[in-house]
Amino acid sequence: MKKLYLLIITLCSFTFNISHSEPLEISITEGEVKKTNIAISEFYTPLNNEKTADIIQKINSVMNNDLMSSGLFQIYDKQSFMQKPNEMRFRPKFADWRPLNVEILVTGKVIPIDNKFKIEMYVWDIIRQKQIFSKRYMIGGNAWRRLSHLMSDDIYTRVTGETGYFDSRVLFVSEQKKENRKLKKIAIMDLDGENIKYITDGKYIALTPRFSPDKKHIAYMSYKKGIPAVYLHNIRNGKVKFLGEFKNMTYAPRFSPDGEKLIFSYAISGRSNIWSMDITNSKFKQITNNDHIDTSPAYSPDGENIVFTSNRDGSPQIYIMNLSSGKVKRLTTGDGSYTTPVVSPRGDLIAFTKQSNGKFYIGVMNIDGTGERLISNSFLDEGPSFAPNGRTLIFFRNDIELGKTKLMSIDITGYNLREIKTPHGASDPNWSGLNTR
Amino acid sequence: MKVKSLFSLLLLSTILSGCFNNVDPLSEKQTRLQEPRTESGFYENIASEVGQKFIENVSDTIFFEYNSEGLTDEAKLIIDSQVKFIKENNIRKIIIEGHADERGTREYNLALGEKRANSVKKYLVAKGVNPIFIQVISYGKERPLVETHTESAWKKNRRGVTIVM
Repeated sequence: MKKLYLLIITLCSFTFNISHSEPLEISITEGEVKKTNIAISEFYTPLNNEKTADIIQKINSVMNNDLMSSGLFQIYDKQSFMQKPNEMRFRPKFADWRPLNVEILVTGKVIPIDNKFKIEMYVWDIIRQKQIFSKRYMIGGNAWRRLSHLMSDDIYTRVTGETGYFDSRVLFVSEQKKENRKLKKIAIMDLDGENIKYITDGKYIALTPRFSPDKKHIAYMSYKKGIPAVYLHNIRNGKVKFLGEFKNMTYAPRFSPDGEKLIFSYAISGRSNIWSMDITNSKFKQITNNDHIDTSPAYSPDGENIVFTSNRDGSPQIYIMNLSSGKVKRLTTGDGSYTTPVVSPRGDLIAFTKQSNGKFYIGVMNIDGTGERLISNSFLDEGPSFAPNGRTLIFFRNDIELGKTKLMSIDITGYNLREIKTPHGASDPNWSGLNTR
Repeated sequence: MKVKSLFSLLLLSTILSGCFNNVDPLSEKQTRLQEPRTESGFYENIASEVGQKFIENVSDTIFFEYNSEGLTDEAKLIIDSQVKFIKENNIRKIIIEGHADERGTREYNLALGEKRANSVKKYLVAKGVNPIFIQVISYGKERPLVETHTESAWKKNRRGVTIVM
């Protein structure tokens, strides 16, 4: 698979008519969002080729699904398209599309060359009757799925002004009921639930997996040794390394933004503190030192601070520590318990799990602890993780009516809550950074 | 050898108890032996003789208040009886599991479970058990005893389980 990914060569971007007018404004900071009406035509191919036709349909399906799931686009029904792909192979007839209220039209061309495909995408502003942008790609036959996500990202980025996030992967724990037990396996999948690969076999409980920034490693906690211990797993060669020689429980691992350190919790004799390890030289450093529970540490994107949960003041609250000075500041003050803090890749927000009055909530607040907003709630919502663009969250929910744990995504505004389908129950999601950046 | 003596013990007690009441004690004992220990993670297949004797004679589980690792008076009484058994039977290997209910997040509950297991350990040590014999393990909220979502289920899941080998 990796080899095929490498076959994607994005050639230089051809923009014929650079639009000088204002881009369509989509505000994604308010609760109500006006969706952009978009129509994505199946791309045209000059050759009557079954394999090409198949890929064209698949690409169309994935792109439609991506943009629809973002909650910002209203996908126009293919059945009522005014023009066929070959009629639009140079330029659409704008007049035909205007009465349908389509604002953006996507067309394209697929040309098979030996074992590869040359793909051109054109994105049109129907109202202003201009091309917004176009792009050319070259892929091996099996890389169509990834290319679809890249093209969705390109559209999303140009139209909204925010970075797209469809070309990313989600790490999670797959929970499969087997006889009396729950098999918990670490798994990776595309954001749309496709391409699932299992990393562990479920023989021992494995929890809370995290990507390294370069996505070459995963850190997770497993009961393989009997007591909870942190493992480093090389995705490429499958080699697994046990972190250090700790005789007691290590858990809650996270990578630093530069990928050089791993931060985790170490519990001994009822004291749970935060430690970090330098991956390059395996040297350990103790970061907190007290009798209370300090856990769920997470780095800020500049690597200067960590946020974590501690019950040092009585109930679990979120604190921030500057790693150079060691100064700790409490961020949460509301009623209830605050846990699982994570910092947005933009460094502006912290997402967390809150428990209050018997309910669980996913919340966001500013990096300084102000502006707390609760954006979801249920019997059990837990463990938010930010999308690479910092505007969407993924978390897990225990649906007690269905008797199943499932992954959910939601905008930080609280808008567009939706389920990310997985073959079995799922929990502990971690969103990777974008694949190409 | 061990199986033989166990069998004859069971046979004897069956015969004896058969003389005194209508309830078949052999079937009762069999039920206890076959009870799945869903919380025992990787210890599931280690059903030592003394471990079974422990379960039959003493309560192996104590319960905790919400979000707390403190030992209630009732818990202390139970652990006292565990200490007695441990000393009388010269137990040299003890595992204490700490568990939490589902009303908490995964990692925090792992820490809480660890604190709970250590509460039991500290009490055992204070009562004279050698700490070298004791290992603690936290299961957080991963191995609930009761899987329903009620207050009574949560009460039963906030527990410390003592296992002897």
